[in-house]
Formats: sequence, C-alpha cells, structure tokens
Amino acid sequence: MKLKVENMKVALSKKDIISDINLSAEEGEFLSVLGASGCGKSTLLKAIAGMLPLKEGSIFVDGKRIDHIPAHKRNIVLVFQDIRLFPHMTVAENIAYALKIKKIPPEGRDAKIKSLLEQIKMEGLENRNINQLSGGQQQRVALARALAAEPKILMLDEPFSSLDENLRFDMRLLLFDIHKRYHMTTIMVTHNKDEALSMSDKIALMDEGRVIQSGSPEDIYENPINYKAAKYFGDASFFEGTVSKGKFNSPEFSVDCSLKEGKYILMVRNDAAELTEGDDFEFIQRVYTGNEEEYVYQHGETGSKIRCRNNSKKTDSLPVKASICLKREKLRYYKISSS
Amino acid sequence: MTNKNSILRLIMVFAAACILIPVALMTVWAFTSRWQWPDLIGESLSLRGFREVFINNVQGFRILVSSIFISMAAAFFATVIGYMSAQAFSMYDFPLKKWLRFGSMLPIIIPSSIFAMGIHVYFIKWGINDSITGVLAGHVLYCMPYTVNILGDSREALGNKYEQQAAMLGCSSLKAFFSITLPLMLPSVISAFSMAYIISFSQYFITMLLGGGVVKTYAVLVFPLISAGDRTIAGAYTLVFLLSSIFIFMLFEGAIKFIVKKIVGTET
Repeated sequence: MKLKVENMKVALSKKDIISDINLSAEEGEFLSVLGASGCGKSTLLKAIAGMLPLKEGSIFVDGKRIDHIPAHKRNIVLVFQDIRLFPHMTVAENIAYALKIKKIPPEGRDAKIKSLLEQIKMEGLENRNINQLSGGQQQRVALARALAAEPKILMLDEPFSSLDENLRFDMRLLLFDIHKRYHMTTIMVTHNKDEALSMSDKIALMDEGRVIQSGSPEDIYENPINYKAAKYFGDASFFEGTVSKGKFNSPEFSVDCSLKEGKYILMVRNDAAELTEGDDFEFIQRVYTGNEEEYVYQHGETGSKIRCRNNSKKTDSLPVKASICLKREKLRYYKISSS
Repeated sequence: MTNKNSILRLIMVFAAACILIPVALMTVWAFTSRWQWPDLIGESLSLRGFREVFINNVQGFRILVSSIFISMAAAFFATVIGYMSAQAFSMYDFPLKKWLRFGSMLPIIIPSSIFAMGIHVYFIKWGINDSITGVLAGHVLYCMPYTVNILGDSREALGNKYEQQAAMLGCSSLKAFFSITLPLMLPSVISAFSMAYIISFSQYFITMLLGGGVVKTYAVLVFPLISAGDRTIAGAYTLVFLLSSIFIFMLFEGAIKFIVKKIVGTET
C-alpha cells in the first residue's frame, strides 16, 4: 500500500510538535524516519497510526484519505518502542488476539500462530508467559502479533533500541527477511544511522519537527542537504571558510571549487582525507573500531581536528606531523546564511 | 534486615490476632447457650442463635437476602461510577480537576452523620427519601470515595498503553476495555467492589436516616439485637453477617473471572 503524508502538522498542548511534513512511501518500500531524540519521529508515527489528531494536513493510503478514520479501523499497525505485549496473555494468546479481532476461526488461528512462530524462530514457546521471555524474544512476539493483524502498513518505533548489539543484528535480519517475504510497506523510526542506512529503501531525516531531507540511503549519505543533515551522519570533519575567485579558503585548507562567493562550511568525510608529507597537522589519537582504523590530526594553528583513514594499515609508518590531501569529488560545501 | 522482618512479622501477628480473636469469641458465643465468667468454655452447645436467625425470625432471613442485593447493587454502581471517575481523573485533563478529585473524597472526610443529613434534605426534595432508591443512592455516594481511590491508583499505574496497542491491532475501545483493561485491573476492581460491598452492608446510620425505618437492612436489624445484650443471638447474627459477606466476595470474584475468561478466552 502506498502512503502519502501532505503538509502534516501535529500539536500537543497547543505546541506544534511536527509541521510541514510531506512524506511518501511506495508499496513494499522500507522507509526509515531518522532523527535525534525529541525531533518528532514518534509523533509522526502516532499521527499516521491515528493516535494523535492532525492540526493540519492529510494522510492518504493508496490515494484514499484516512486521517478522519479512527485508529482501530486504519489497518496500520504500530509496534511501540516499549513492546506492549499484553502481560496477562501467553505468547500464543498475544498473537491470537490480533487474529480474533479479524474473526479468524480457531482452527485457522492455530495454524497461523504456528506459522508466525516459525517465522520468528520461536517454535515451542507458544505457552510461555510474557515475563518469561527475553527482550529479544518479546520483540519477536510483538512483530509476530503485528503481522497477525495483516496490516496495510507496518510501523515500528525504535524496535531495536532496548536490545544489545548481537540481538540487534539478528533482529535486523529477521525484520528484513519478513519485510521481503510480506512485501509490506514498512516505516521504521530510529535514531541509529547505521540501522537506517543498512535496512532502508528510503530515509526521511527529521530535525526539530520537520523532514529536512528524504531520499535513498546512498543519496542522503553522500549528499546531505545542509550542515545539520551532514552533521547527523557524522563520519566527517567540518571547516569554516570563505569562497572567493573559485577557491575555498580556510586556515586549514585551500581548495578549488565552483561556488558563488560567500561564507561556507566544508564537509570532509573521513575517507576523503589522506595523509601526505608536510607539517601543518599533528597526530593526536588513533581510533580503532575493530573493522576500521581512523586517525585524528590537529591543525597546528587553529586547533581544529580532522579524522582520516589510513588505507595502508601500516601504523608504524604513521607520521607525527603531516599535511592532509583532500579528494575533491567527495567534498561538500554548505553556505552559511548571512543573517 | 532480620530485625526488620521480625518486627513486620510481629505486626502481622498482632493485626491477625486483632481480627481473629474477636471472630473466634463471637463464633464460640454463637454456639453457646451460657458462658459465665470465670469458665474457660461455655456451659453447653446451643443452636438457639441460628434458630432465631433462620427459623423464628423469618423476616430476618428475608432482610438478609434483600440487604445482600442492596449492597451488591450499591457496590456495583459505586465500582462502575468509581471506575469512570478514576478514568477521567487519571487519563484526562480538564478545568477544576484537582477540586473535583478532592470533592469526590468528601463523603469520607466529613462525618457520616453530617453527610447523611445533608443528602437527606436533597432526597426529600427529590422525593426519594424513605425508599430503596434513596438508600441505594446514599450507599453509592458513601462508597464512591473508596472505589475512586482504589481504582484511580491502579488506573493511573496501568495507563492507556495497552488500549492503544489493542487499537493498533484493530480492536474497538469497548472491546479493549473488556479484553485488556478489565483483566489487568481485576485485582483492584475486586478490592473496590469488596470494599464498597462491606461498607454498604455494614451501614447503619445512613440506612436508618435515608430509609426512614421503611427500608430495613441486615445492619439495621442486627444493631438493636447486639445492643440488647443477648450474646448468643448477637453472635449468630454477626457470624451470618461475616459468612454471607465472604460468600459474596467469592461469588463476585468467581463471576468476574468467568466473564473475563469468556470474553478473552484467557485465564487472568
């Protein structure tokens, strides 16, 4: 089912929480809503689900306006961040709850529960009480219960936030597998950029209640629309400077460019900086993350820092003092408004 | 830690003794014809008290039954209205909410005689004094603070997150109430109902005033018998009072669990 949100505005206690939201997800698309805590991501999901009224705007599913339809009739299921499995029911009863609402007869229900438990790899645990399950298992049951409702659109609010790293990875694979199998339009809210980049067909980046950029993971990562978007994804260093006569000049760098004159912020991704011979930067720290190795150098005059990768992996040959060579095609500039 | 446990255990034993010793004495009295000081046990076993309750005083048994129905109705209405008030106080914001919440506690803050006389004036105006309706309304009003308080705390603790989840799965709010909220609040609902029932069942002054002697409840019947000083009869009446209440609590708990099980198909 195709989802379209037009000019959505939601207010809580007379304060606008989200505004001017324009968003769409094609049928079978996996859309991630990415943003820092408090930017309005969860409010957006709740408004789409029908739990919060719209102050302005409209929501369409397959071209049909649904914002006046009560939440329980929208057939959009939201899996909440705090899971919300019914504590007085077993695993099977939680899943059966959605099936009973759909008036599926008992024999059909049992078969469906069995199949869903197989999909979430929890066969044999149907009679377990909810408080006997681990966090990851509870998350799986919540997912199975949501699938049992056969929603037009599945929405997940920070589904992996309470899980440890290994479980997180397993759950990502499971969700990805289920998404592909059901070909269901899925919207996931997350503040984890790696999660959004690795799972989504499309990402909507939110900041202060607005969608500041949406597009494919590659596009949004490679070409952040503004300084805030660029900063959110990290993996970069930023330098303030001026463009004049086709050249960006800052105390640290001087780079040819084809921009209008004015003040700019230069974004240098970690893989866009390479060490060369020189002495304007000084080595201060090695950052080892297991699969990557980055080095932090500090500019001698300004003290600004830059992170760069050592592709040679020869740590013994790392110079104490060096210059930085920038790959022009990977550089991005953001205009600083004069106001 | 051990000291703390010992003190707690001591308090519990003391509290249990405060309840059980009078009940035990009353039970002995109910089955004894004479029990004179300084005898350790009564002179002889006697069923005189129970004969009086169930055989000689035919009206007494009828009053017991009608009293049970009045108190069950009062407890039911106090629990239902109490739940609605608790829901409003816990889930919604509206003007004067604090004052209204305080107001709902007034029947137990002000002395019951003043409360009864106050509502009596209005009941006369509305023409419901000296009637079962008036007694029932008075009992409901008097029980409300207890039910609002008991249900309010648990409603607030439960929040509306499970109802929201049920709505997400396509469930209407009415069905979500019966299948999710009620089973989860069952312990509080049973406590509120039981509390309201026992308050209504043991209510003397309000019943006397609002019923005007026309409406007789078991408490109204028992009170003069206890004052008369015949301990055997008083013991039998109070034992029936106690056992009938316990029977109603068990009946109510069983009934509500059965209803919930029928609706959700789950044990609670």
